[in-house]
Amino acid sequence: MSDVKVTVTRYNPDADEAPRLQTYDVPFKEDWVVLDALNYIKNKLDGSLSYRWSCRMGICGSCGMSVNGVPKLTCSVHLRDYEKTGLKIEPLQNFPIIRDLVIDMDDFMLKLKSVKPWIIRQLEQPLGAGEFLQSNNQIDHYRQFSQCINCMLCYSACPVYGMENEFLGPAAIALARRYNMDSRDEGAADRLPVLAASEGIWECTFVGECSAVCPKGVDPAKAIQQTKFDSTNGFALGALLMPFGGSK
Amino acid sequence: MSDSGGSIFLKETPPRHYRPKQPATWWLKRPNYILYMIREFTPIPMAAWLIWFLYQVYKLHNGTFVIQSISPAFIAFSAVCLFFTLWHAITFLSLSGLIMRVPIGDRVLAPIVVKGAAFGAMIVASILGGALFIYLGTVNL
Repeated sequence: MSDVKVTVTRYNPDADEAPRLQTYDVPFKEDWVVLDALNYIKNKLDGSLSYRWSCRMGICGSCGMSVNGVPKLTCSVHLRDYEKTGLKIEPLQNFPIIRDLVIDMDDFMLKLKSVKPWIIRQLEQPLGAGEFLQSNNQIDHYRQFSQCINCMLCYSACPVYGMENEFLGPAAIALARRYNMDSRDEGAADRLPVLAASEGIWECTFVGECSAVCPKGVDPAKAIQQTKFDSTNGFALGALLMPFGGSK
Repeated sequence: MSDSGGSIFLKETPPRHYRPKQPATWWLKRPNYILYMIREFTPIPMAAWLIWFLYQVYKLHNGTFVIQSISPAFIAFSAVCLFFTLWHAITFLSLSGLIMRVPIGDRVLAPIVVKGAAFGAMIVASILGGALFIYLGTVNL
């Protein structure tokens, strides 16, 4: 059985001034994913290696890392794809590094919360009033945006976020869009101040790489441009064009 | 209990982070980034060509325009500008179907229709613009 060279970012905040790279020889197995290689290092070679992971099936979104410079879910990419090139695993770009491959996700969590990614009703109905019915066409308006698993790969791929950390970012806007497009939701006006702020949708320059790296087929770039179009074209014209003086 | 002294609890210090900076060469890291940057710069040669064009119109108006003064190098530059212009316009209009949602009841107009309308409008506008330009060239203003 041949080995694969796996180079991993190491950073100990108590000892290192800056991250460094360390290379391990990992046995190559045809059916292993990149996360299996990290688990092998952790279990057999170096127990001090730190990284996040959980479900191993591309659902929880916690094992996102930069694999050969491209943001990936390490549970969803195979080792065999890197057999010839070798493998360099780094923390997700554009985020502060806490330790080794672990990034600080507080900024993302605050931004996610700021767009209120839940169904908002202006007047809550009692449970006895029955369910909210939706047609298939109404679900189609937001279905793909609802697939986001908050893995933050899109933030890692976004050079705008890399340059201006104030940018609300692709996933938060895609999720705001998901709820704005939901026929049961009445919270678009509540989300508007965050989306229309200078750090919101207008910060995006449409690089499009957020959509290219999304492991769940969500198209955040589309969500952002659609929100820009709808905002200027429709319900929020005044507030968006005059964010500092427009009436709500 | 005050923070100033006497606390039996250890003060929690925020963890030390390493904050990487995005290098100025970020756009060289991936092919899509390079294409993005090239596309972002396409208006510059387009603007340069238009300034030249307006200057030639001015010279034509003054009667000092000479057709032989256009060099082969400039024709090549014009071809590059045309390529950039078409690339910019086609990539922009190709996305119109995805971005512009035209609601019809609880459905939306098919993206291919929106995209077709956008390209149709560009072709019609180009023809009308060209026709107007030729017409203005034939009348003695």
